[in-house]
Amino acid sequence: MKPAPDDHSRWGDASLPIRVAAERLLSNAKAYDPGLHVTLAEVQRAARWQGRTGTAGMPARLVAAAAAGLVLITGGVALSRGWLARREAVAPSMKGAPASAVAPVERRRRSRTALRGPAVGEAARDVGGDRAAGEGAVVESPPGSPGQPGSAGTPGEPVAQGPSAAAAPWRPVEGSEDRAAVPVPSPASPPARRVAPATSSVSRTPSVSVPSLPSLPSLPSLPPVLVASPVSPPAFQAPPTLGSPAGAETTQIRDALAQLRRARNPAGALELLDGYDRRFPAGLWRQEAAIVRIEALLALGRSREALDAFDAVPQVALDRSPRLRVTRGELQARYGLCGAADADFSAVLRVPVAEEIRARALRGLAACAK
Amino acid sequence: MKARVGTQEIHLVSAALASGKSAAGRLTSVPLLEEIYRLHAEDVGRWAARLGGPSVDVDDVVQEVFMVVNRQLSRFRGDAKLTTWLFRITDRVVRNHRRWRAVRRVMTQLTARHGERLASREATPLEALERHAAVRAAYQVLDQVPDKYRRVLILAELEEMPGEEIAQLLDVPIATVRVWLHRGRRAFLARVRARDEADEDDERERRDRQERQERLMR
Repeated sequence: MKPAPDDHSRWGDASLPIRVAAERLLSNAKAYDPGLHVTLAEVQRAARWQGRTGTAGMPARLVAAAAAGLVLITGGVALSRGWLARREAVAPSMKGAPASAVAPVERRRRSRTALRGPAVGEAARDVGGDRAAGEGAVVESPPGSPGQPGSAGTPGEPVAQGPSAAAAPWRPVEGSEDRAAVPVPSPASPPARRVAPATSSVSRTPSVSVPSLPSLPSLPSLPPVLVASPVSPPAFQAPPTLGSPAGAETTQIRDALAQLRRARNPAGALELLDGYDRRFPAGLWRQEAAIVRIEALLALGRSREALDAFDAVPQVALDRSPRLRVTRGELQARYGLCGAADADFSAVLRVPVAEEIRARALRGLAACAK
Repeated sequence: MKARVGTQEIHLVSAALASGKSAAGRLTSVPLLEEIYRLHAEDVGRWAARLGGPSVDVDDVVQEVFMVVNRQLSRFRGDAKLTTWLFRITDRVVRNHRRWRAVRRVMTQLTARHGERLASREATPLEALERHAAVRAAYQVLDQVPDKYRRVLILAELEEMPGEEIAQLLDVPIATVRVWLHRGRRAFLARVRARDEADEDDERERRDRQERQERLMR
């Protein structure tokens, strides 16, 4: 069967060019000789390795089938247990929350957002804010501030809350390791103050009862300035340890907030904040103090000073709080600083924000455009 | 190695292996892997290169074949010729390699060994490239022939094996080999014709395009 070099008869009645092409292709294929480089030692080594790993005698298909089965079983178990399910972050809104509910408060890396009571201010009049009284305001504080669970100063410290906070369970917010849940009292609860019940994370420091504040009359319906979400009436964090400097700082801020929101005395709040600044020029709560000061100044109608007070608020806090930023933009727009105001409004519009904030930013932009 | 045999037996086995079968028609003892490798590694390498073409790594195939031989040696009873047994294993391993060709190509192209071989065998890189392209083109046509006929076609045309030897190797009657070879050649010619026609079409299209461009330039 060995073909002679000039024997084309085996190709049948194919035309000459096709026969020539076929011969040429076959001669090219015949010229292929890659040579053999593998040695007996390599084969023996591979055979020994195969014997050691126990795959000897096991067909490759069986190994592949076993591997595929293992993957399928693991995947099925993972799916059934929900290991692969993506956990959704709990929204910080308190709308429709029951009286005994716990308000999850976001604690981000660079600053913390706490829920506060209502705020009064003239910026809200500019905007035409329509929030009812009792809505909360956002106050941001730097990380490591006293009273934050897990912070450097008072790790896992219980936070004294309003009345129902004592009964509210202390639990972490699901979906984020960076968050800590702060119990927020319900509006209907009586204004008694107690320290939150001790848990495993809380029991490291002694709990101290805080003398209860006098009960306050209900607040009139006023639009808030720095409102984050509708929440229960003022929840204030008790000092971790009253004797410590951090506790004294916290007490002073707490009193200023009480003056502003409960006693509706922004002037008194400002006095307390001035005292705070004098006593703690590098205090841990200075960022919150600056924001409370802005709120108090707006409540007093001293919007120019409020705008100046924004200088003490770090940029990171403004970046993280569109509400603060839009407020600053409105104040800048009022005093003709339309370039800076435009920047603030545009920055707010670049990120997903609540519809109310968005509307305020758009109105501000339109006002500047005129 | 499943079983060991003495030196005396090794010589007997070697003689038996050289003839393909023992005097009794069956192997009386299990041959050594070393012996089989020494006698048949070149054959296995050549078969692997012929059957697989440039798309498979011959060394990988040979190693895998002898690992299979090592595993199955104790079960080899000598019913068939050792070369037939080895060819069947090689054919199966090459087919597996060709199935995974796409994946293997990516991996082997990254290894320096592949490049060294190309560089060392040819006078110039261009020569190596041309030769490689010619072989690849030949195997592109051969790969379109059905597997059954392709195997016989390769053994007859590239290995230049006589029909009787192919029949022994494949353990099929000689008449079957002739039929397969005839069909294989016919299929191969049909693919060559189709390829040439496609080449002519491409050439015509290229000429037309060139003419159009020249007309536009004028």
